[in-house]
Amino acid sequence: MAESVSVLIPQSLRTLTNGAGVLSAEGHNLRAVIRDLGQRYPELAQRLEQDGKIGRGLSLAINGDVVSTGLITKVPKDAEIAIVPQISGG
Amino acid sequence: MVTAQSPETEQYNVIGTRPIRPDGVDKVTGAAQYGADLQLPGMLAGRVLRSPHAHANIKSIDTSKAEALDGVLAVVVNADFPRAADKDVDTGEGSANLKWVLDNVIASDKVLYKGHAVAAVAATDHHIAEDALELIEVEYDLLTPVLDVRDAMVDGSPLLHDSLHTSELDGSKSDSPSNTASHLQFTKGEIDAGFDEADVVIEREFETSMAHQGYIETHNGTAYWRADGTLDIYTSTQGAFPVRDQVSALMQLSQSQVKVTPMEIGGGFGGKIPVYLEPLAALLSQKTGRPVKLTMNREEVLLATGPTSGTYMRVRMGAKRDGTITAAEVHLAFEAGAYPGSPVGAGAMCSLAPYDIPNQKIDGYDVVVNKPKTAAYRAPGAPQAEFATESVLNELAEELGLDPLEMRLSNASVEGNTTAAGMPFGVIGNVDCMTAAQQSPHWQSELEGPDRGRGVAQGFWFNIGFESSAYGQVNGDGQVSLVLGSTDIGGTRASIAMQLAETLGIAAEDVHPQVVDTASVGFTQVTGGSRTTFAGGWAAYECAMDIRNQMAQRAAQIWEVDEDTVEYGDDAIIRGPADEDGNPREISFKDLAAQLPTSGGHIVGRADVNKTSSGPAFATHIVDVEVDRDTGKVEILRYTAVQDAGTAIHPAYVEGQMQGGVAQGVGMALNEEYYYDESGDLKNASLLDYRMPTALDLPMIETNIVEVPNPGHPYGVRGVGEVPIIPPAPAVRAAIANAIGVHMTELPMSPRAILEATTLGGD
Repeated sequence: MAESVSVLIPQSLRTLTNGAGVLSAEGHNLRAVIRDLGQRYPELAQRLEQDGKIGRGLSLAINGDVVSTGLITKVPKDAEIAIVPQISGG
Repeated sequence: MVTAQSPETEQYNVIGTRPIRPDGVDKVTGAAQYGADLQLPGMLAGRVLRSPHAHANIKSIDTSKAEALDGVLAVVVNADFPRAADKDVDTGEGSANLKWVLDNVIASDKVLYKGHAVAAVAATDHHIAEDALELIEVEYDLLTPVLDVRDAMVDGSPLLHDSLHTSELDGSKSDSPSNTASHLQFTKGEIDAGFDEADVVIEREFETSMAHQGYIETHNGTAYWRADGTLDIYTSTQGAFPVRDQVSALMQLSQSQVKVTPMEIGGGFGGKIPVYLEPLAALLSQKTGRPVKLTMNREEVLLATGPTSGTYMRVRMGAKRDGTITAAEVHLAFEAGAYPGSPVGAGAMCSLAPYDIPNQKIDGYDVVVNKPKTAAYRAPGAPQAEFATESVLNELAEELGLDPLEMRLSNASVEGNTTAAGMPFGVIGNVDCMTAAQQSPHWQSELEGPDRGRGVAQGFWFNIGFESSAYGQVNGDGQVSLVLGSTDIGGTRASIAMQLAETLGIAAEDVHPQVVDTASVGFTQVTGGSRTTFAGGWAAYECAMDIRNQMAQRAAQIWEVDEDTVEYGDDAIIRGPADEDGNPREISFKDLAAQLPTSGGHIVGRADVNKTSSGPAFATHIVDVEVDRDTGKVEILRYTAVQDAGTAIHPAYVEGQMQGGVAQGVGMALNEEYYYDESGDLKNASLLDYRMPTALDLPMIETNIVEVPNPGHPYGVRGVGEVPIIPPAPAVRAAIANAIGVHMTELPMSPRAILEATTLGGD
């Protein structure tokens, strides 16, 4: 079942969303959410999904937790999805 | 040894105790096997020829004289490797361009830093290999080196890579090539309006030097390319699986053809995630058909392995008279070294995270310079970024006449707040750390004496989860052999085994953890990002739950009762329904384990987890210093580190991580720097001249473990290794300012820098 979620767009990606900072989308997993976004913001979707994976140099975080399970990660209802740079640790 | 537990861990039998480390005896007796100890039949010695120049085109390499030397069996250069595709490869906690990974291992058409590898030799002994290096003739066309991040960003600066254009997060690229590899920006609120609200605004610029992780054991790598086409690697690494994946990609082998055995590791701190020697050893072994071992000396480690970024940073912060921070603007330019990939993104995301500031603008730039490619180093990017922001916050408090801890408390991030990057906080211990610091004997004490000062600072790091595996075999003696894929840098054999023991209800000493090779356990990500006790512990928990289920099922089979009527208790007693005579059916874990071989066979529990959740960590540090105005030397008089560990699985290890982080943070604060001359020659590539703190430089570091259990983990664990390196530099800076009234603007705050600042009047 498709869930309604919020996608927070960092300033650097707002060129792809006509300046919008928060987008609503639907989808049961990240891939579905991105494809839903792609209907309105195709360039954003192309940036977020590349070769079937999360776009190069990016990470997605659901409710503050960085996703490690790729685009098939399930998205809970009312989730907030953040787009952040890849993070490494020491 | 078992000592008293904290209130948070009193509910547990094993967690919160301090059992003897499983690797302790081997390490104190010298029996532990490190990479350099490895000896294989017929093994050859390898050495690497390194560039004496920081920036040059390679016109030619003639290896013929070296190859002709008696005892030399192979010489390799970049052209001998399979052509690396222009694609990304998993490097452990992210990805990197495969061609750049190879070019960093061994230069192709250009050398980009002094010490850059240009050729490698395999010979029958180390001395012959050394002699052979001198016979390799390399013709260079020298280029002007770019050594400062701001110089590198200027239009017209010499370019390291003609094909590199500035990437924005949206995927667009600059028209012209640039040394600025990427730019990112986070915003929140209305920055101009936020500054308009402020009564006081302070803006400062900072510069920090590259600093090395300083692990005691130098890099090593041994490879044996077998006749059947399989490749064995033995190495000192934080992640055997990422080594496997990188080497297989570089050598164009399948992952299944490569087996990586992680040897004991003498420190890593992030610096042992990249590959350096392993691909060279592999190619030399392929050419010779014999095992080849390469080791680095200390000079090579400092010249050619990844330090953390040097930076230029600018922070502007505004606050009302009551201390409410209304706006903060952060500009971060990070040196990536020779190839893109500094930790500026993480630095940007951490920079203001401890505070709920309504209006923020954070810009980050990843910039290549003619220095070694940077690698992760303990909370990568955060020590620099938070040095800048915490320092300005301390100055704001000073300007407003406010207690710096009170000001932090009044602006602190709490559950429900969201960072500029859009990351909401769950249950966090930010305020708890500040409050504990405020109530500490150190903060409550008086500091007296001339030229003495006190400073405080906060730190934040995300911590991460990701993939980990744990397999446990129940032995007939009632003990468990536990195999792990996580290299043990900081005590994770113990901390993971303790979580398995807790879940099974058995003693820590009854679990025997071992770190095994990539063919013997499921995929496990690097030991880094403070993820291992968190994710590895979760794997151990699920592995133990698998064992519990199987043990209960086996008891049901033996008793010939319905499985649903049997339960495994937390006291390690398996209980079933009463028998026909009304007597309770129960059997201990140990007694059932003894029956396993004759009642259906042994039991192996297994868990392969991939955890998206994490446990953000905060820390508050207090430091007292005394400054010698004549020499510029800063002495640390007293240091207290307060940190939220979630749940302290093995408190001694947590305290050790906190103290180790402080020691490294103080090193970055006061002494550690890469000192280059104008030609790009690193002038202090030895531990005599690269000054790390010793036991004589530091007092006993007082630790205060705060426990705000992480609801995203079965035992409430948060990572502990990263965050304690963050607050030392800004805390020391504040203490120096408190002592002598000078606000330093560079790291390290070495005697030279202190004297220059005091002579020139500081700020």
